Amino acid sequence: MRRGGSLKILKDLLRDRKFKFGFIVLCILASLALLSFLSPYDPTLWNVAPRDLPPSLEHILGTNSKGQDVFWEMTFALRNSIVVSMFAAFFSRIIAILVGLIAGYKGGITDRILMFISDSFLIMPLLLLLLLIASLVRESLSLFTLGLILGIFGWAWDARVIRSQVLSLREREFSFTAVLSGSKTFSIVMKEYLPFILPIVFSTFINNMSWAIGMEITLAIFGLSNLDIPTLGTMLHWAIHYQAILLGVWWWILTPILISVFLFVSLYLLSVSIGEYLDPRTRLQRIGMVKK
Amino acid sequence: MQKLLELRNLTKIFTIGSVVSRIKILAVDNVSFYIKPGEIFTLAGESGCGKTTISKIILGFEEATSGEIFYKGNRIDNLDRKSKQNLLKEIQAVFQNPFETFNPLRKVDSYFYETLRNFRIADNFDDAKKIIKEKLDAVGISFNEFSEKYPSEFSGGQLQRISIARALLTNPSLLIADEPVSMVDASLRMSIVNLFKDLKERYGLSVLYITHDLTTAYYVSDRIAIMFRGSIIELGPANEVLMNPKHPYTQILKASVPEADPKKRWKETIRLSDIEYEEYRRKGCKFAGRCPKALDICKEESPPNIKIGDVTVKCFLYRK
Amino acid sequence: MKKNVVIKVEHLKSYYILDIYGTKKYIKAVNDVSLEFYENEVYGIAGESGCGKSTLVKSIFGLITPPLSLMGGKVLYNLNGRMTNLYELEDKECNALKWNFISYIPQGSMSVLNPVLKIKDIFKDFIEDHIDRKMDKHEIYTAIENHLEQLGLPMKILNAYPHQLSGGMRQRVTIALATILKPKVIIADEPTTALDVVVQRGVIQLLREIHSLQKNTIILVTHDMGVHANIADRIGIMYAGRIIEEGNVKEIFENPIHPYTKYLIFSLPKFGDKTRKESAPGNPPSLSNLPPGCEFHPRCPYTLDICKTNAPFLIDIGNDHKVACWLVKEGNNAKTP
Repeated sequence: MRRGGSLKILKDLLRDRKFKFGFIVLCILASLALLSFLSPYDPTLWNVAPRDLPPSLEHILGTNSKGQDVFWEMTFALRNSIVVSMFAAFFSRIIAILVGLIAGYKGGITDRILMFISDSFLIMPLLLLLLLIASLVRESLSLFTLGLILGIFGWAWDARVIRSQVLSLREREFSFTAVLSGSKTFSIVMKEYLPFILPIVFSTFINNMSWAIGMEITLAIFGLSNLDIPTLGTMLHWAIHYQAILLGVWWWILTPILISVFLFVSLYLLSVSIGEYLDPRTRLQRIGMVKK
Repeated sequence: MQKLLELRNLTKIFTIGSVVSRIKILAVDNVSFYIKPGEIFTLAGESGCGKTTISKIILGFEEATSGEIFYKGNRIDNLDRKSKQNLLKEIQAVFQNPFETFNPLRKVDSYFYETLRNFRIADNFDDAKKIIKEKLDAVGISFNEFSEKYPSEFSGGQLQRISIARALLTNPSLLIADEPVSMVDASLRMSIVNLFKDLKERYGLSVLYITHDLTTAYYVSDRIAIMFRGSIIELGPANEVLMNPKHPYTQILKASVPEADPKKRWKETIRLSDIEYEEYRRKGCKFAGRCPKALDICKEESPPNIKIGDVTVKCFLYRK
Repeated sequence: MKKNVVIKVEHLKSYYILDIYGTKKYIKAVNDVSLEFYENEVYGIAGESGCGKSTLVKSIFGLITPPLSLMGGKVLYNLNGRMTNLYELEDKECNALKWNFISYIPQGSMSVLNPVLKIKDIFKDFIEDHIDRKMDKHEIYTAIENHLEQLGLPMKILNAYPHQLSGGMRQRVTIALATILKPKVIIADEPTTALDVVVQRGVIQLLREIHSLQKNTIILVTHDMGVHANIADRIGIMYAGRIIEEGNVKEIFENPIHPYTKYLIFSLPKFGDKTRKESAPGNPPSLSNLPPGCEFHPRCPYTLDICKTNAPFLIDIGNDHKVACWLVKEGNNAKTP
């Protein structure tokens, strides 16, 4: 299915201005996150530097009221937020694909049961539930657990989207051709339908990441996640807790806000442009053009 | 062997709706006919007459509500999965829209290799290539122009031929062609239709040709059945049925086909009522509501099948 | 008897310009077309899917929206004796012409009717939008009823909603709608496609009624040669964005000259005719990748050297018959092998 290799795909995508911007910003953010491995400070320790220092050469983004370097703190926060959200998105994709494919192809009772479960997840008051769960397991809430919980709650909507895509694909003539060619159910779903479903999976993966980051920030601001682990949310929480704005320690609260904004925007642009690129309709137009 | 495929009293009722409001649609109403080996049999009618539903039932994509289907004397409507799979070696199909027949995101030749692999016809690449070349030759496509290409790189006519070639891979005895030329350009149509004729003459292939286009049906079929609202109302040799139609519906159908000859322009205006009274009649002939020759009995009783020579008509006008 | 020209098309070129990830693709749907439409005639534009006929009539009606672009040429309307270029008029003037001077019935137009209005209100709104003077309700409804009666459509449909009518009836209502203001020119794009055969006959008959009542010009676009045979006076055969043959309908069916037209006419199956019919060889070209010279030459069995480099133009061979083919010499009795 991939013609000309991934490099060509990247080149094509980069022609789209939206993708270019999002990609560049995300690369910068990713590099910042990777820098965390070179941090001279341990993020869990307090008072490793003088408190409330404004940005200077030694501390690029200043220090906070806990006595930590804001810049290096941010690199950890970024890294953890990205990791949690990727894990949540990945986990929820798997559930969404499985549920969507099975419900869509099998139909009948299986479909109804699965959709019932999915709808139940959709109408649950998500924030309240998360707050409840988080307040119960707050102390043992590792990044892993947080990602898992977010993943369990993030699949319902996309499962339905995938299911409806499968439903419409089932009626298309090539589904019948596949049956007439002797293919079994699993093979049909993998070979015929998956290429159509992948765009949804990719763009919803990125969307889900955004959602997970947002959820994490919300939980953290309420003080309901493990506040020792630096994430964008916990940074914000501490900044608010110490009343950073009032005290004039603006660099502490502005950093996570700005980084979050850039993260959200770049993820959004990527999801939209990749979705467009992988859309079967634009793909078809490109197929005829590769051979020149 | 007289009958390759035989349908007996086939009925299909679709039920739409949930517990609260259900609508029953009688898509196929007690249909019986047979196809001989080495014959092109046409099932003709307008949209909604049930012809496509019949083809889906034969292929196993839908289940009949009642009735039986026999292939080479054996019942095939109640088979288990494995036997159904084996049946696909004997009965294959091509469809209306050549661009939808193949997944636009997959290369066309992948279907060929897949078919050969799934049905264990060839187990290595060279054998497979040989068979594919043979079938492509039979439909007039060269292997090189076919290899490694996506559906969008072909024209409608080419794709339809490729679709036929794929159907021939398992050496079927019966090919079901559902509106195979309605989406193909007029100047290329005859090449596909001629292909059916050639395949019949060279390999003894039988074709169930489903269409609403009576002129190609006339050109290619041996026998034809005209369907209206789920019932066959006239059946017989194509020449006889189409040149000398007996049932009023067949007559109107034939008269409504604009002929490609300026000398044969319509002189009178036919006003056939579009709006129906009593849509789904429980009793009587289904066409009685619009028939210009309807008798009183037509509205009360369902007409019998009356044999006149080689033709069978479902109409009270021919009651002896 | 020389008829008046009501629309004249001169060297019209309309291309679709697509920009896909940096590469520009030109689809030459209308590639230098010159035609004349006369008063009181039915002109059929024949050709296969993808030959550009829909784009041609859209350009004649003035429906050029991106990615379609007018690349050159003129479309002249005969307005009160003066030939005026449609594309030099102001937007306001253009809109005033639509439905009054020229009507357009697009493909699949049965879905054009407003689903929440009754048919009589759809008509009323339409008339009020396009007539300057104020008409009272009674006058309008009478005019509608008269029009439907003339066309043989049942009165009871006026109180129905579009979804209550069958597809064929909706198509006829759309045609009635497009003709109620008695335009001089009606463009019908594939009016019978997707309709059942019996209903098709009703639509074709309706078009004939309108033509004989209003004595206007109908430009009928369809790939169905049977429809052309039944209703057209003159036919233009279109291939790969150009008109390659034009003439009186009887002449074209009995004496096609261009090799493509020959294949087209002789491949049509007929009742009572069991002789073998052959299709044209090869495949129609892609409009974004046309062969040089005559677009048909890769498929033509009679190709000359000049065919590969120069595109032929329409030559009059007498009897109102025009062909674009290098095999033809000017004058009467021209015949290709």
